[in-house]
Amino acid sequence: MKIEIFGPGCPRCVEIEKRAREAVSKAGVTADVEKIRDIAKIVDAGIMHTPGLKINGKLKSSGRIPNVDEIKKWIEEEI
Amino acid sequence: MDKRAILAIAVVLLIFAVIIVYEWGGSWQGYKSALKDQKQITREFLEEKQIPIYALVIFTIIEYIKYSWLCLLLAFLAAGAIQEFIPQEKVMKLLGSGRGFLPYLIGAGGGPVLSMCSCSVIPIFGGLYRRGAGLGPAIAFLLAAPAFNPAALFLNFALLGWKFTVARVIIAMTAGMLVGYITDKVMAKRIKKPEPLHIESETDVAEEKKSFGKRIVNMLLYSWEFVKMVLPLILIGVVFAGLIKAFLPPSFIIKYLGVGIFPIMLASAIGVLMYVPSIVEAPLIRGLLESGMGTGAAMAHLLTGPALSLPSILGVCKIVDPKVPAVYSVLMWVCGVIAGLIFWVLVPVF
Repeated sequence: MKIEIFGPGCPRCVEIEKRAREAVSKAGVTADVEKIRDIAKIVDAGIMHTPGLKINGKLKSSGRIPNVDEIKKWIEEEI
Repeated sequence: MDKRAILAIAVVLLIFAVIIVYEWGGSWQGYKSALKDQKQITREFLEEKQIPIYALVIFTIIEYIKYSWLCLLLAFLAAGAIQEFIPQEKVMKLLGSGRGFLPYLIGAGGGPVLSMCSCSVIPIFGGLYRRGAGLGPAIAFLLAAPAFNPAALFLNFALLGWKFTVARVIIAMTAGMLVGYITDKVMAKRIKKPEPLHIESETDVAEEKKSFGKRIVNMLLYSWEFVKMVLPLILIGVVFAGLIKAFLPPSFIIKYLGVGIFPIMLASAIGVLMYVPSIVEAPLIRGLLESGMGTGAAMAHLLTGPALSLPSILGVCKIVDPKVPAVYSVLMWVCGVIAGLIFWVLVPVF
């Protein structure tokens, strides 16, 4: 599973990465958590509101910080 | 409870303790009245009254927090409410549609709805541009948004007064639209068109209906996130303002940032290049004003400071042709000078 986090590096982006990692370990899956900080790449990926979260290439949230249970639910949907 | 929450509570308690000691503690009263009577604080004055210089720093920090905490509370609630209750996607679509004047107006005025975080402005700019909103409205958004950040707006009101706040909003919108329009007319034909981009939106993902109570809880959670993001910036600004008042001699500030056209040009240029997060500028400018900065120079810096910076210009270069930021930076500098002069004529003293 591939989890991508889009954000230039503000505190909100750090927070969402932390929650995503927590959700991964709670769900008990192995996943690549990748952080994309390059603005050109963020725009290319179609994210306008940072922080953005994609799981397996599907946009799950943008412009807000979802809670751990929400992320866990999305991870389980993608298995 | 995690460590950060405990730390946050400790910091809040510490601030309260300092304020209580400051308000009622005996040894502070002398300093306070001495500092209050004297508008212009000089080094000789501090020595004469035997006030240690750090007292001035602490005095400034506490005074600013006292002025602004209520406004900040409102700002945080407003930011949370906007995030939860206003559908951002719809505003975004409005920006992309329509011809003529309307997209510019929404671009320049859409700041509080679209950007909650000063670092998120550039991705939104990129998205707007690539989605076909047009170069002009996207630039209008980029330049005007930082002035409309709810926290920045309320903090301006608390620390700089309504004249600065109203003037700043009007000037930022006008300058944003004007610079966006001119840059569009000059550059749009000379650079190649952006590859169109399909943007999945969150509304594509099924949205569940939420009860009103749940939404209020969500709103408060967003507000709290906003607090965590913005509070450190405010503290940085306030501490800097205190340090400036204590250690930068007023004669220096009056010489370079005082009254006249040269200080306005300089303040505008500093604003274009220096990175000032869009919350820090209000306490910083108040500190400078109290030490002798001219109102025109202050307004020029308020316009160009948070809107532009070298890092932001470099970020924009990755999305559009570097000529575009070059053109709008110069235009924005000119706007800063003009705005400074107008404001200086209207409001000569702080």
